[in-house]
Amino acid sequence: METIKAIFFWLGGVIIQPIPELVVRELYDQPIENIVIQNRLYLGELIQELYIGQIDGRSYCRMAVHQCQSALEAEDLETKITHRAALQPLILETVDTLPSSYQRWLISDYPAEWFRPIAERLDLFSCFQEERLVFTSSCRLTRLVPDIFYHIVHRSNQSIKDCMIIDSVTPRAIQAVRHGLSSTIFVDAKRLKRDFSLRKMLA
Amino acid sequence: MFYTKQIVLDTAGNFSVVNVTDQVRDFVTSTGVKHGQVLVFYKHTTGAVIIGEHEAGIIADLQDMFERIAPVLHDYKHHLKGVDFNGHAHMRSTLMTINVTIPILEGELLLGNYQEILVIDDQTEPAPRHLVIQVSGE
Repeated sequence: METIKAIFFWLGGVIIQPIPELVVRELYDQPIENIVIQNRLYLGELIQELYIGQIDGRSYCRMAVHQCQSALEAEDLETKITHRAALQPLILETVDTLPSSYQRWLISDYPAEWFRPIAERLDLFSCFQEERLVFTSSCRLTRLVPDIFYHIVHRSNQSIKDCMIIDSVTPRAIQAVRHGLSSTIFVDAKRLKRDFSLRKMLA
Repeated sequence: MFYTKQIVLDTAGNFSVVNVTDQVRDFVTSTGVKHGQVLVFYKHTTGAVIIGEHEAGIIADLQDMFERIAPVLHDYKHHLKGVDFNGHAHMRSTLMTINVTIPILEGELLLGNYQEILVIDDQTEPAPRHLVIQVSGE
């Protein structure tokens, strides 16, 4: 029987778009599956470096622009990312349906310098407390998965079995389950609310 | 009438699961077909299309089951060919389905509450994966 006490929401893919989706849209204006495989693989590896803080947001943009031979400047790409990040439909309303007895955490895979303007513009702090915010880039992780799971469990001061993670990335959600957390694959807010309801988490 | 669309999926392989329910639903809607069926067909021999629940625990259990039946590390005869070493993926693919058919009524997919259309890519390296969606009806 689950006794969830802390719920962790990934910023990219659950609350707002994942970074790669925004970047590919700005660089190519078409879905990622239409991009040549070499550039897709390159961007896929590069984003991992950003996630764990091996490179900062500006460097990431510079390298992505260079690899994709875009006419954009890295600074412009950064600006577009922070300006065009948008909430997933009904997501904050869905998060707000959770009783206050649950600790709500936000895992930001966006670097801090991108997160701040986005959070202010989208009013994320109306839903998440600043002290329950984790930047993957600041955790000194060797690798994102599974290290991030143990980091967030430690930060929340909860038992791993009492932690739940909401993730749009299926392999990561599966890894979370394998490491003892509860996890839900995020598809949309409606389905997430149904999942909370099935788990009898709503008041 | 028949309406056919091919899509390319971006997956990392190694039992990646992609939920294509919304893409199928959107295509059905775009055709205007009210009564008929939609075929979803996977154009590879190292993966599958299934109807299932997109839930992390179920997928982990499915992976575990296939690891018992057709483990990644095994002396598959296919490997003697020396081209690739994905015998497990071929075996697993034959045990699953490479296509599913869903009825359409009043323009809607007749899926159950927890049924979703999932593509499983078990190729050992990332590569473009092709899927055919074919709507027939009126």
